[in-house]
Amino acid sequence: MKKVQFENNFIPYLFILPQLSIVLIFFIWPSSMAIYYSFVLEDAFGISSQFVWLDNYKDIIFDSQYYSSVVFTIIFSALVSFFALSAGLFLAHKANGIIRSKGTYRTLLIWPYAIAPAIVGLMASFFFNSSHGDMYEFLNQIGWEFDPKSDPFDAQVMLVFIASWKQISVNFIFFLSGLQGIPKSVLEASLIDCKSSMKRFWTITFPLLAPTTFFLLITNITYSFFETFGLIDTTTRGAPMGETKTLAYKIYQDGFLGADIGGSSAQSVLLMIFVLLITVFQFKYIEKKVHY
Amino acid sequence: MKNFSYSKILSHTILILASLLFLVPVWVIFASSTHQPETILNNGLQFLLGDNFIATYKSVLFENSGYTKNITVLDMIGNSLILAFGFAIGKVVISSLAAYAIVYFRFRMGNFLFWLIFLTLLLPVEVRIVPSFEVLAKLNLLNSYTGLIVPLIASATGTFFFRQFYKSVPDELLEAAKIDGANSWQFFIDILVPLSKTMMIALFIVMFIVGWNQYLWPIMMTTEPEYSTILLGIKEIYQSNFEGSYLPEFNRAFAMIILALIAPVSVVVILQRWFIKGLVDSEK
Amino acid sequence: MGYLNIKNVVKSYNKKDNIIKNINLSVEKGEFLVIIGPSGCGKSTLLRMIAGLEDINSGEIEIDNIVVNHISPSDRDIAMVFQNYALYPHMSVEKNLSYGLKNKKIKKDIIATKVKDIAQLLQIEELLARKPSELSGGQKQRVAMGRAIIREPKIFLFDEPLSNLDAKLRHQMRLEIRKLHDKLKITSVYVTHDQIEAMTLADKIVVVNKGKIEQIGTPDEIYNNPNTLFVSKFMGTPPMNIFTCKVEKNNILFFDNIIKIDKKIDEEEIYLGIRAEDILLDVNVNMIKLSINIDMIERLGSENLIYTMLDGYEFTVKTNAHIDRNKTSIDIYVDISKFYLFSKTDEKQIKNDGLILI
Repeated sequence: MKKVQFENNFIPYLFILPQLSIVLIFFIWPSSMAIYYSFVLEDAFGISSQFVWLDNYKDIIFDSQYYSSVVFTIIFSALVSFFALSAGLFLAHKANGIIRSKGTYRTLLIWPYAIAPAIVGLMASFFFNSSHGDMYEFLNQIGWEFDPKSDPFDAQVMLVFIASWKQISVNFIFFLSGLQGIPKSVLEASLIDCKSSMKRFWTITFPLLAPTTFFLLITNITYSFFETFGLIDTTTRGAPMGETKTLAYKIYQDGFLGADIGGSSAQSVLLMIFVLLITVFQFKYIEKKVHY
Repeated sequence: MKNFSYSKILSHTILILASLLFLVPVWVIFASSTHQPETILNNGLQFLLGDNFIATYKSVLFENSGYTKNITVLDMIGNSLILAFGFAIGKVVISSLAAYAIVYFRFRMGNFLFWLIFLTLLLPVEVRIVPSFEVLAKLNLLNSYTGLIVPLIASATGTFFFRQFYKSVPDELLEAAKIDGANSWQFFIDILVPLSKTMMIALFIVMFIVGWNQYLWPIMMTTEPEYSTILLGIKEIYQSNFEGSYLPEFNRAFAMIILALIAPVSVVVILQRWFIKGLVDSEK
Repeated sequence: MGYLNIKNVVKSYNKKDNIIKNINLSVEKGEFLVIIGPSGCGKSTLLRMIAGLEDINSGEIEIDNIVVNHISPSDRDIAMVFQNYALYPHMSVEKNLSYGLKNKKIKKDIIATKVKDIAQLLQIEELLARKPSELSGGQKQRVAMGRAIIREPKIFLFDEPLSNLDAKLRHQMRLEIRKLHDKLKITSVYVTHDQIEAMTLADKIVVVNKGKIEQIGTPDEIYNNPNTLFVSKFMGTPPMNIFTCKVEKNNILFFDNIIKIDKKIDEEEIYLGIRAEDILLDVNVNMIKLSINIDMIERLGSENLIYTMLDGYEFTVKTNAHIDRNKTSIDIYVDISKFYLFSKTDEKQIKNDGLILI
């Protein structure tokens, strides 16, 4: 922390009180409720409840639907992260090499960030629609019997595509900023030491982008896990056959629409633990290793 | 020298293609919104502008829509604005206050409270959505602006943002202020806040976008249409377009999409530099 | 090998202003050339053009009889030491040294030997495993030089390599660079704004001002026989004292003294210069005596600098004679054989065979 500080045992509490109170009421309280409910089984009418310890957890873990949601979420986030990061990095690298029009391209490629995932989903649902969607027709014309309403694979591919499309812009911005942070003289030294621009990119530029890359990796994973909710809700809604539900979406469906408080709470807790692990991983391991 | 221009032309081509990849879908939606719905039903999505622009947008903005038909899209946009503004301002205010306490004070529970706030990063909305509904119901905050805005503003991203910035402010400033007799509140208001102006604007802009684009939370926390944000309004299109039985009003659907887009996209494009600053500086 | 030619080279960033205005320069093999000039004069740009980091608008650069205008930096057989070292932050010292060689597909064991030799030469053996962030400024500088030397280039390029070091370290590194050059004898082009570096390191100095060459010569020539007013004022600390004097045919008027010159001067006024260390406090033949008020004295230990004004002109006198603390005025003696004359129109030196005091 800072070397110079105020010594006072009353005033800081005043400053921190607004955030703290909201955190307690709207974060800690509901989260504790979720933890509590995860250990509880309610009857069909919600009148009585009994403590069932880890039964809810057992039910979920052995539920094939939960399992397929886990698999889907992991693969989905891996693919989206990979495509969105690669495309973002590629475009940032190209844009960084152009001195004059850099600002124009930045404008042209930054605005998709502002589109809500829900809207992206809505737009996509029109493009991939069976009755008048251009993408639907195009894919069918090139021989792919594309039908996201009945084929889970098609639906999953479509989601990966749309989710990546939305996320490229974020990665582009951060990578562009990261590239601009690399000292020019280091790149010039590498011009003298290395003839191939591909080699220069992978041995000098990319390693020096490591902090940005790791940060974005976490961001992209978080995005795929959570922020794609709106996207799914306006396109597949988990169909067909529940094969396009991320874990977050499943919590919403089971808890809100399905009124399974115990089960969805247990899922929430598991998800919380997962996020905790990722954050710890990010702070402890990566931050240390990746800064020069 | 010749190789240089080849690779530059290639770069330009790639970047232009990428830009089109993003522009074309939005353009098509916009162009389609200016046609009659029958055109779209029969001929698919349109690339060129039609003649229905004014009629469509007028009807969308000023006629009642939604389930109970007692709110216009203009009202919905108003709600989105209130949510976005309230959220962004609230975030900036309480985060800067809390970060100030954490960075500039040495007090007994300081470390513990910092980690408590940090905990909120682990709990995105989607994870605690069901019990949150209960809490809001208990507090009678469903269907209210307070309930829409307040719970969202406490997540730690803003606090980290200001914490990072405050840590970079030279210690000498505080020492000079102490010599000049300033107490902690005066130091905050007279010195720190003016210094943080750019950062506050940057964070405000990023959070404005986040607030405008809220989807799940407003869905859960508002059951009455008067509080619908425009994103909710669009969800209703989905309902009516894919589950309804009468002719889908494509043009209105597309118009609503465009209307929902304009505010956040304009903010990002026009206030680009601040936006990027707000994004990138919170990385550290 | 290692013979560098710069022919009619011009560079501009926009079509209007030229940063480099038609430079012609030759460097012999094994020579240590220093390019010196004020900030913004284009010296770094010139160096970067030799390296291939900047384009040339017109003209040619030749290294060892090969025109290199269109050859990429990595193929020009050059090596460069940057002002802020530009070491690869994510690589250890050893990897920094071997990176260039690895890219040339040289065998691992050969690289290892070379790294060892260079490390020994520059005394950085214990640093091989460290990362640049763990090195001091002087150590970074040595690694940067090692990275350049290990390439065994035809030409060494230095871009103000010592500017970021403190004074003592700069002094030490200056000697090391000279020693290395004497040992390795690689043709070197060294850019700096520091005169002491120029005077001590160079076989030949090029003084550059606003994209043009003012003078090329040995340190001795540059200092004792400056071609232009700019060179005379730029080289030398404190700067040469310059006066504007009236001229009538071949008589120069200097503070009520008439000096006769052996050739006829067409101008009515000329510049007259004399170095601070050539002003004496003792009488000798052919000297002009002036009485001045002492405005300020800087006592540097080894010498004193006396600042004064006379008739609106600033005088600086450098002497190691002792001067009492309460002395407010002093007599100085100006040796007219140490005068430099410059034309007021083109600022070039007016050479003569002797001046006579009347």
